[in-house]
Amino acid sequence: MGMTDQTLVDKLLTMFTLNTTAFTITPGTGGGSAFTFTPPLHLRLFATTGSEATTGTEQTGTNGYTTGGSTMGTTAFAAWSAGASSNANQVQWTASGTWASATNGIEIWDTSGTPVRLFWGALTSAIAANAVVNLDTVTFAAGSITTNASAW
Amino acid sequence: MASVIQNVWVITCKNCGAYDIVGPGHPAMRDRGDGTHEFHDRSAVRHAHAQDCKPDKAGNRPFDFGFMVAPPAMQGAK
Repeated sequence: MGMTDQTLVDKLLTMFTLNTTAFTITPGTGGGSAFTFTPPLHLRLFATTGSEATTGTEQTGTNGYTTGGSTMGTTAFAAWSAGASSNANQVQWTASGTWASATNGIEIWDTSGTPVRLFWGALTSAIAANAVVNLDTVTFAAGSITTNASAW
Repeated sequence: MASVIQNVWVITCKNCGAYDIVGPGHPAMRDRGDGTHEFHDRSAVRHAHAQDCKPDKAGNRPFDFGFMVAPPAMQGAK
């Protein structure tokens, strides 16, 4: 069953992924808790992939990978259309030693004091623990992360 | 939004720029049996034109192992 108006989905996802200014959503009386959303978005690598409800186990923040991931640029995504878009900029890490963690999935978060998780997913082609060594690069090219909310 | 990310890795040679596309079925990958695969064998990465590739001082023609997800590689749909 279709549920959410597609134009609204595009607008909401545009707000979260192309906006360049932090904003706070404050619910009205009887609503939930307010939360602040802060760009830029960060791409994070995960040793254990998360789920719809909870985050996974992020890759160890050593040897070229920083806990909390790396920026996806001022505007992280291209314009949304029919509930779909892809990352606008390349994200790359250069290993300064062996990555003891496997890279099994990714997540995309904002950079608020209490970061907000937007997207998560498992890689069908992962990288085993210790397979990335000193001076290797791990790159997600622009356009390589496609998100599709058409069934939202 | 749940995602299953259909990706391969493009691994590039530091000497000549040639690349090897490493995904399911490549000898460098191991089938986990759950629909996913993992890169685990660096020695299995090759490029087709090694004879054109300038060797390093040790006589090797190494890859720089730039693991790259190339577009369009990831699709997420709930």
